[in-house]
Amino acid sequence: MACETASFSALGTTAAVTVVDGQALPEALALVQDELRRIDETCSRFRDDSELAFLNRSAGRPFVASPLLLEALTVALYAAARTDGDVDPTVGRSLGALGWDRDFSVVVARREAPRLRIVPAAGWKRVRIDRARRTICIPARVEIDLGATAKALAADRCARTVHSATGSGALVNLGGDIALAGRPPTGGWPIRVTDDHRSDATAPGQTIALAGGGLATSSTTVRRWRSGGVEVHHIVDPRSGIPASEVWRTVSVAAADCVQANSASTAAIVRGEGAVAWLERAGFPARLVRPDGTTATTCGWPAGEAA
Amino acid sequence: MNRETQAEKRDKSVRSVTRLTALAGALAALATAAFAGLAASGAGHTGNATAATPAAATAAPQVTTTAESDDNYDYNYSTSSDDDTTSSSDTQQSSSPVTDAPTTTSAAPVAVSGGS
Repeated sequence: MACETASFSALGTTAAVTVVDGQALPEALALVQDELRRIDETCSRFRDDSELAFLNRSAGRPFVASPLLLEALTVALYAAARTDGDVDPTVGRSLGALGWDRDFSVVVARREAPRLRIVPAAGWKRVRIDRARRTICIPARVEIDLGATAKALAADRCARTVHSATGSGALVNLGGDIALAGRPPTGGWPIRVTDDHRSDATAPGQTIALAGGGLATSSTTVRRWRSGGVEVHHIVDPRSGIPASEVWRTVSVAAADCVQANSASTAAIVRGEGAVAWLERAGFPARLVRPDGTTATTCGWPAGEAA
Repeated sequence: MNRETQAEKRDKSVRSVTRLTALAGALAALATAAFAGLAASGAGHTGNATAATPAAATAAPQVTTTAESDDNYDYNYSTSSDDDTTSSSDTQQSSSPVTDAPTTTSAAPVAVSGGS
């Protein structure tokens, strides 16, 4: 049975759904489009009418949130706790200060780079969720950015939904954040890991097979722009508000689901030299690529050629 | 005789206070033991499958104001599928972070994972 894929643009990146049973593709595509529309309406930092935008304007008052926003923020705080704050949803102002204050296509297209400012993250432990009242409280002038985990959460939700509705094995790929659900094709899902998710299958990298779970790749090579006369990238160390040192240019991680894979790959970029030991201790199979193309792997990730 | 009676009354009062103090102490000990038991059973669910990972060593959040503060940071998203996924029952299990390692393959890729 040949896999079938459909792709489209969503969440500021490329979305694709692949199913083992080709007949399930139309329904799978509709389900994924619907899910991503809801995620965008809820979690986008760049839409004035998103629920997250309203939360960010709540200025310290308890904000009654939808179940989806509560889930997305809970996942973000979970990622922060699991990475000891390397992945922190309170980096919204940090990213804005670096110049990423609107949709990325606008950021790279504008001629005049904004003045570079450095703003450390407010700190994820300052976010309060009251489950009984379904409210979120963030201090005034704190801006939540769910970019690090909401896309991965969306991938997980989409893959589960497609498999549950159609019975087909499903792969959902949101800009390189991949979630798998159901029975894979024979031999597992063949996936190319490389620097840029827009690359074709011949790009330098490695082709691996995964049976389930999630796979995410974080890279400093793709989302870059100039600000205050210097080039910056989007993976910020929350403690300093400065883009992470480029000890690794790209990190790919396999995990039980895409949220965990994404959290670990982002944290690995932030951790720099300490990433390999941390990934080993956590049990994440990973492939880390240095700026010169040489690689390191952890936890049984198969060795491959230099990137 | 009258003085002896008053002395006896004082003794009785002291004995009574002593008995009450002992009773209160016993009750307090009982309550402490019961609370310790509850705390132990609570620790059972928060220190589960991921205990061997460094992530599990993350300090318990100190700033949350919710009744079940650990729930804010422990989310079983792997098994939730609908909107109402933030209930405490969902958050009392942690999914394992690990998975089977990938394998090499010569099959044509169906997807590309890279930075975005």
